[in-house]
Amino acid sequence: MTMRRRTFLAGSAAAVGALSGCATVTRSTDIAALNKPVALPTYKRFDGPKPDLPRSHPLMPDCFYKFPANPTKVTSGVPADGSDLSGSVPTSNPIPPTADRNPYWQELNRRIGSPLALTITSATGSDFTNKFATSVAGDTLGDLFNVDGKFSYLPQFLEARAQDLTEYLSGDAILEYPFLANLSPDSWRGCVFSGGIRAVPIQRGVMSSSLLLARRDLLDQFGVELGSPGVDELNAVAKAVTDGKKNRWAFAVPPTAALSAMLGLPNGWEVRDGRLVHGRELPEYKEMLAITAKMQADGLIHPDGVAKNNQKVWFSQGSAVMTQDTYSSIQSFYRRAVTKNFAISLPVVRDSAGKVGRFLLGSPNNSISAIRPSSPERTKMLLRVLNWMAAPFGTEEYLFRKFGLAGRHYTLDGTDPVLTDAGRSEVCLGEFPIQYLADGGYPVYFPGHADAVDVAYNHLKTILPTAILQPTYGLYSSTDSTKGKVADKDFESLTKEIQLGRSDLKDWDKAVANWRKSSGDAIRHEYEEALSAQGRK
Amino acid sequence: MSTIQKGIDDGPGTASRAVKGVVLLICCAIVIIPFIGVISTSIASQQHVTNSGGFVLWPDGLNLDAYKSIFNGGVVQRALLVSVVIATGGTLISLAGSTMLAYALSRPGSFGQRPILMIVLFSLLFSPGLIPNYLVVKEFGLLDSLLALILPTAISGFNVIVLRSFFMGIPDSVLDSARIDGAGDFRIFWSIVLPLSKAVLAVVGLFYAVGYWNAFFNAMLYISDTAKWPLQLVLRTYVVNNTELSSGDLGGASADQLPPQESIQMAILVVSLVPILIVYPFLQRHFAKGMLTGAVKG
Amino acid sequence: MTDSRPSAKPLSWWARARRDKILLLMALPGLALLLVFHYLPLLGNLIAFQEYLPFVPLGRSAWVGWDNFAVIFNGDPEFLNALKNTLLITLVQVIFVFPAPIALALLLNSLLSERIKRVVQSVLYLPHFLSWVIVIAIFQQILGGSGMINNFLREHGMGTIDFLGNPDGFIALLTSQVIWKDTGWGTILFLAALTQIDPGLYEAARVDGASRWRQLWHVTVPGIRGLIILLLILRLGDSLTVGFEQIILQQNLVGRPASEVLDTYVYNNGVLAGQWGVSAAVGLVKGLVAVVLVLGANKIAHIFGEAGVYKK
Repeated sequence: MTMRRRTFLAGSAAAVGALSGCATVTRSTDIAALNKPVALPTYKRFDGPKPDLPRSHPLMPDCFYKFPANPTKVTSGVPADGSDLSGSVPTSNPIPPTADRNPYWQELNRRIGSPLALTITSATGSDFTNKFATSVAGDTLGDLFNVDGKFSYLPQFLEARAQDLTEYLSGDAILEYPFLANLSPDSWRGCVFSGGIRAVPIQRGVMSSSLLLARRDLLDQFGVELGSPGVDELNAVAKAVTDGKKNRWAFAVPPTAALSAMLGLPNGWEVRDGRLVHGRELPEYKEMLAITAKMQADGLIHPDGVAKNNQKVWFSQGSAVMTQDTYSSIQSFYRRAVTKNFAISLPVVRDSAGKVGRFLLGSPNNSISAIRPSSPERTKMLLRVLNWMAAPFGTEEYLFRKFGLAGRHYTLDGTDPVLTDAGRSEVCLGEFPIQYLADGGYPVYFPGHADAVDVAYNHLKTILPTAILQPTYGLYSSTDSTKGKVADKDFESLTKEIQLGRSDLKDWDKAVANWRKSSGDAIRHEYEEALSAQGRK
Repeated sequence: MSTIQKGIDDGPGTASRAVKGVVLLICCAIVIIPFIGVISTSIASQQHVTNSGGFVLWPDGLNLDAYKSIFNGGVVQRALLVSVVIATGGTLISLAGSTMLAYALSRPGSFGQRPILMIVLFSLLFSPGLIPNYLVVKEFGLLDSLLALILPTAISGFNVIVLRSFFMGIPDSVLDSARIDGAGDFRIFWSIVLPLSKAVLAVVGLFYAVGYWNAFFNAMLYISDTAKWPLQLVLRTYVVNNTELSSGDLGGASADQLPPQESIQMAILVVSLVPILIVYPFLQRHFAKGMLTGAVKG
Repeated sequence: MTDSRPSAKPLSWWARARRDKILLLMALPGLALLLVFHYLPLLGNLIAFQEYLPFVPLGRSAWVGWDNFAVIFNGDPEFLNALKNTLLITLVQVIFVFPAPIALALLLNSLLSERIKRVVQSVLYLPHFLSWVIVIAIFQQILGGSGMINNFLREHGMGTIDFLGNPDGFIALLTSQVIWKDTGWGTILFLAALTQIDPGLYEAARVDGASRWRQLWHVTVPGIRGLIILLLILRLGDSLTVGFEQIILQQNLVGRPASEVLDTYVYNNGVLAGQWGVSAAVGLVKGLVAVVLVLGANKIAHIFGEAGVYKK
């Protein structure tokens, strides 16, 4: 089939090319070329506001109890040249009033030095995906655009439609843009495509990693000690806190992140014995499936937990004592809390040897943004604008970017800015969508909840030394980006089937065997080739 | 009213009336109860919403924070105006185009009827893709124009076929007598067919109006200027999905009194429903009119 | 039907066009809108035969023949399962969903009190305006594993019922959701059709001593039969399309084997992987199938002496 398809494709392409006199374009499938390495930007930490807690590890985010008092301005002049700028961004927030009625936006334009027009699309459903595809087809993305990570043939697309930023950012060149240089090398690895730096990261660092969250207040109330559990302890605690008659369950959702760390699962693909294997091919993975299925059967997981429709509410409400969410979700739980003594703990889980379980990190970036192919002058100007948008937490630029103007958009509670009504609307709840063009590193900062900052910091401090990113992060496999997505979805639904007891592990074996044949082995091969193209294998 | 007739026909017995009453009562209850929940959730306190698992059946008080937060900043008010303009203008354009087309197709043996009818019918069966639609709208220079929200969806093949079938139900004798009086096709259409079709015009008008009112997808694709966004698209941005880092997860931004997401979601629903609730009774009069005659006489 | 025009003689092509020029002019605006905004972009469906990439200039994508149709014709058991589910859902919905608004309209029509009638109708049409996301959320709040019913059962020590996650009950669930959402709305068209019935017919029936049931059967139903058949034929054209959004939102709960339908299959296997050509290809095939179904159903309607969508 593949053979036939290839030859047929080549044949028809040639035929059409010959007929029409111009070459047709197909996607390139040269894995080595798509994964050619490039010298990453030099990482230089910006000497800005000092975090309240020491950075114990390169991946440790800046931890702040309070917003720094008297934030200082760290830039001078304006980054742009006065010409019109346009951009496309998604948003997860209500849209702001348009620039003509929005003092924040007007001030933003003044500080950037150019009027910035934004095409804003809701991230709800697949709105942004559809909008992005049509904007690509109609060539209406603008000067700066956030890239839909789900878009197929991403490297080929960026080669065709995004400015190659290598000469501006590779190595020490980036030092022109100190706030971009302040973003981690891991984040930049996610911006390399086909041997060029073709995008700028929207860095989230470790904050978007999933982990086990527990209601410390409830555990205390029941007199149950969770501590630093292994599989058995977790199960024992879960049984102790579950009470179906009171509509209370141990877990809002199956605790897969905790179990992955307990069982030593890889983060997606991993090199074992000189060969890439995917987690789902390993017996440990099946063990995790069996454990979660058992938990479900024992009634330890919220009855709608596998469907995952409302876990944030269950956890806030106390109908689930533990849940799985991100570090960055902590703040929203405190905000929703319905009891005064609401408190979250982040248990460090242990593997079978009793050591800290290997933590699986999420993607270092929320997304990436790119620049329309432009003249060198304009490219540099656009990079200066992005650099301005990446000024780190605690600076005056950051305070304006996220909170607007003192008095109109925010008031201070101590040194912590609190948005006013006008601020919520005009600054989009502090997330004006330029944050999807460029942003600084993401801090651990839960204003009013200093203890939660400590809890997050201590957890990070313990798990970061052994935590791992996906080994294939920053690599491109064309099969994975097409068929792989379908397979991932299939396995996700089979996982649920098994957790609900409708399928068993034999079905899993069958599915894995099928997957190897249909796409798994091809993906493995492509990633191995990509690793060796990068000299990492 | 109907008592006069009661003796003549064997009118509805008590039993059959009771059965009807119970059936309708149950139907109304299963619709009304969730709607009470929708309204209750929109005005319930954060604590109550969370404690009830996200959906409140009866509110613990009157808390308008969700509504305040929606109307904060004036974006929604402006969008409401845009939506009213689109729904009114669009419905007029749609009704004009569709009724004329349907009338032309309803005259037996008119020239070109079969191919035109097939064009209308097949438009229901084949739908163009997202990208070609976008490119056509762009080529006609309609991006960022309110016309982009009207013209592409102005003619619904379904509505044209329904109108045509109603027009064909008008007795030929009525039209023929007009023709003998020397009326042309347009006169017949305007002064006989349309007045006789108020019921279906009200229905099709409602279909179009509701279609325009609820549409957000085309606006999402074609309109970049958020000042021209219709209500449904603006409201859609209030429904934060569970993306990794959604609203409030960002440190500091969390002003403490943000109403719960569930309340906002339900308040949005209420806000978008109110205009329909206001307009509906006026249209309902027309298609429910015949029911009156039917009932009195039956 | 015969041409009731004064001139019954067959006319030339040109003469007929001239005779009907006003009609043609009236048809023109609507027709033009359809041609420009529907048929022009339909040409874009040619990408069904291309490996289309949105960032490649129009017309420069590679032609791949029938490759994009493979997803339909390669006999993948998952595809066949999706097709089976689709047809089963269509069948169940034609049997249960389609007649629901007719029955409700007749029930409303038989009510004596005008006020009750209007109030009831204005209540029942409301759910139409809820999006699927909300409808499903409401169903979950009531029927979910921790919904009101199951919480009640659990608190009282009784066994819980898996309404939403049960694959065998999935079609029943979908159907009940559609009935809840759209039955009231669906009555509108039938109520309008009921207004077209000549009151004289009821008069005559009563004079003949017909009971209310007989009036219903011999006057009311025949009066709206044409519309029912017309709508049924159009519904058949949609046989291969069943509530995409409604289903994809609930696939998680029951798993794909029970819930995969044609549209979700294409979404999961083509759209998700950025294969625009595949969705165009499936759109084309679905359109062709719909044409066959609609024209076929129309033929059958003719055999039974009904008008259908168009007359012979």
